[in-house]
Amino acid sequence: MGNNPRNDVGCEGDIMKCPSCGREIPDDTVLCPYCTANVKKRIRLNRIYAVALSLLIIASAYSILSYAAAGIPVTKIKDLSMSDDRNFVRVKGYVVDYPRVYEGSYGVTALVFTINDGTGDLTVKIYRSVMWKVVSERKVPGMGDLVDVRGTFFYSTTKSITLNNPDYLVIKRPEFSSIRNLTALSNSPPWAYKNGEGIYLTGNITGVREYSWGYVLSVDELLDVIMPRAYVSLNITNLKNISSGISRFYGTLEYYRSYQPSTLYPVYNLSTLLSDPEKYNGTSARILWATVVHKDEANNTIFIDQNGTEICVYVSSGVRYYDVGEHVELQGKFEWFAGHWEIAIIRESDYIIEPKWELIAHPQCELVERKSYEATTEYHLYGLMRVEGIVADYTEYSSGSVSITLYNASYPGCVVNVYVEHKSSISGLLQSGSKVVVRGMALIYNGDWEIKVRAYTNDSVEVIY
Amino acid sequence: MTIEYLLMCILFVVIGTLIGSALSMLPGLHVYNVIGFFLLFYFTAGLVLDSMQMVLMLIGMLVSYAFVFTIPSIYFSAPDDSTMFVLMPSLRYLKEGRGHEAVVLIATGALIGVIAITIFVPLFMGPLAIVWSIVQPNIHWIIGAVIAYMLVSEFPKDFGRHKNPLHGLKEGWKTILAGYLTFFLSAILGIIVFNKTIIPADRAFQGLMAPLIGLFATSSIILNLISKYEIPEQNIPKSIDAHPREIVHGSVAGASGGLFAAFLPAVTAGVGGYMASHAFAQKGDKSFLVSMGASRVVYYVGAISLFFLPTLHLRRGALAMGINLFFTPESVQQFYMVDMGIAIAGVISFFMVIYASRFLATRIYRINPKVLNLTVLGIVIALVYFMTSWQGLLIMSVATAIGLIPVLFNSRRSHCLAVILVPIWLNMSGISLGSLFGLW
Repeated sequence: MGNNPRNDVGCEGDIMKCPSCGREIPDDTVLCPYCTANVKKRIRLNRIYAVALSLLIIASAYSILSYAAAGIPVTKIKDLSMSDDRNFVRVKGYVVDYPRVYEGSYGVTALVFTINDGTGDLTVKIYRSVMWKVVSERKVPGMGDLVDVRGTFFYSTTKSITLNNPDYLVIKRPEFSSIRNLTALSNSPPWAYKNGEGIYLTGNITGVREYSWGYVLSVDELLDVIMPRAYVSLNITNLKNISSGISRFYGTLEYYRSYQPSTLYPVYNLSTLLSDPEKYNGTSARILWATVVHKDEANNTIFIDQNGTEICVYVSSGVRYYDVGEHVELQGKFEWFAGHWEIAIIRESDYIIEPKWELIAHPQCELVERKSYEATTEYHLYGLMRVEGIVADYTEYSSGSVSITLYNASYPGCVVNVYVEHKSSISGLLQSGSKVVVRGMALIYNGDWEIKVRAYTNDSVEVIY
Repeated sequence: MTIEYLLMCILFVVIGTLIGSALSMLPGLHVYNVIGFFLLFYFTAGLVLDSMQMVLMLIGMLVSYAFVFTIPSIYFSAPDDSTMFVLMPSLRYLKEGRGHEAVVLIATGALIGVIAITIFVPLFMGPLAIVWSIVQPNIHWIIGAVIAYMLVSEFPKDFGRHKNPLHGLKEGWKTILAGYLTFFLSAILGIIVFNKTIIPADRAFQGLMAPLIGLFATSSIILNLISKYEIPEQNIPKSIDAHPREIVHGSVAGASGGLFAAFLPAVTAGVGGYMASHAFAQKGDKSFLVSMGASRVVYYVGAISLFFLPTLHLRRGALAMGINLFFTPESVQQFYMVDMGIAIAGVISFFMVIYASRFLATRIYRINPKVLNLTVLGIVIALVYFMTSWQGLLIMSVATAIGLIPVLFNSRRSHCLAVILVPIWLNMSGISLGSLFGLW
């Protein structure tokens, strides 16, 4: 390059070389006659190189910024707005709903749950590959968990955040305290526990009902455990496994009320109402917790007791659902009727329900003691039994359940009562005279032993012929 | 983040830039073709390399390609879809012994493009997000308008004296009709290539390589072989013939066009820069070459910057899509690192292209152009065969034939871009024409 004479641009007497094309031109010319380049007004390359090197200053500035950039600060959900759309944000809050999954013909495509930080709700969405990583790292949250989540925020009618990396989901589970007496828990009033309190308990699954959002597992026929479908669909919980013996359930308590009234009347104690009934005559009252002590279906009335004070309740429809010993919550009009004080549930805003404590399951349910189906003629409560017999009679209900009367001479009265929760547990064509093998759980129903074939478990009715 | 991690990131930027610079010297080889192979390798050995460092290496490759591909475009006359517009002015420079000056002008435009990206994109974070929210639902209309502009803006050319008025009319319209024919055939080729995987399925991600090389590179090389020109001795100037106003004018026009192209699918840097040159009433080759350099860099590198830009995360361009297979941009910190990578790669690439050009300029005139073009043609054919097998060669042959129409009839080569514009426009408009060609 140095030997190339064209590189030496400059004057040679009255001749110079064009700085652009290198040809010899008169030194007083402004435009090169060969290439039309301007010989006088030019930009030196050194200046352009200096501009190029200024990029190093920009690079240094960005390297300092990236080095100094702190972690992502926690944002309050109420502060997330349209200007944050598609931004990467960090939010901390409690899971206020159990996780849900979206399932299609390609399997589970997304895991979704809602968190609340006291300022609003935010939906957390986890899709496919990230979702399976979250599952494998046992990071699927449960209701009541405190989560710290970072992801891409999407502003829409509902605020949502998409998790892009399992590492960006940090879960702090609540402390779980042990509950030993399920009967006491199931009979506890609403103030006995706190909603969202973390507990664990052990028991036998005595019934399984399926809903779109998940499964309701009846434990020892005393407490309902809500098993979100997400845990089953994501293979975190195996119903067949945990129903094959005594299992331990972790979760948070929720006081379940089947009806959310639009109008809430003042809460009264029965003793207050009846201490000065004239004063409260015509008052719309709400009774939070009372026990049914008597039922008169003919007159559509029940009698309830609250701490030793009894009152008659007129239920305009559905009185048959409330049995003696059950706990009810009601709202109605306190009034004098036909010679006695009563609460009448007749208006649209009135209601009577049977609230109860439920356990919203967490993902870490486990089998504690496995049982096997035993071919025995002796009934043991919650024991798994294998019984052979001839179908003497059976009834199929519209709900999909089937009740079967089996003939087997080895059992008391030569009869075994079988209740099949869902007919999908029956393999083969069931008809009177068929020989069947039943695998199920021994329970007491209306004072008699029965074998319950629980749905979605290993229980089954196998038709031999 | 630790200092060691930051230094490793810078190292990967440098490695990517050096690899990209070396590969970009090869005529016909698009960086996206190489990045496809790098991604395949990364997915198999993904756990070894940190994803951010992989991203920075790929960005280094992309930035260097945006700069260094000027070399084969000018010295070997093997342009791609975005450098085809600089072919004619740069060839004129080359024939005047000013090839290096042309390279410097384009590189200066590219340099200013990088500076614009690293400084202005973060400043316009909010407005860009708003613009995108307005543009997004109307993309198909805008692409349709770009297509219409390309077609309508070509008017009958008057070449001077004619035998009679009818002959003049015929000559004037011949170029237009040749242009429309080019557009039509390129569009059909694009629809076929986009809807049917003709090349082996395991190379499907290289589907556009053969038609683009055929339309732009091989047709240019064949033109050079036919035209029998001589490359004179090249001068290495210490200054360039340009006024700062021309540099600024070209850079603003180019950056605007590049940003327009980076925002819209199907619209490439060439079209964006070309439209911007009309919009900014550019005059002269110097400003045009600068604008093309700026446009190209803002298109390629700006797209990746927009992908990492908080509030936008616009996934545009093959690299953004490729990166998104294993990486989701999240934090402002990552955006800073990407801008750092772009700046470092920019400065290295600038000097790479300058020194590579100096090296070639002092040697290229010694090579017989015919031998040079035949060698380049051989390299291009070998690359297409290696990447896309014989099916790719077949597509390239068809594309070359289409690419020669504007060459032979003196019409615009930009009509060849219908190969990308039309199928994407149809796709975004919800129109399916594949069945017309028996594709399903």
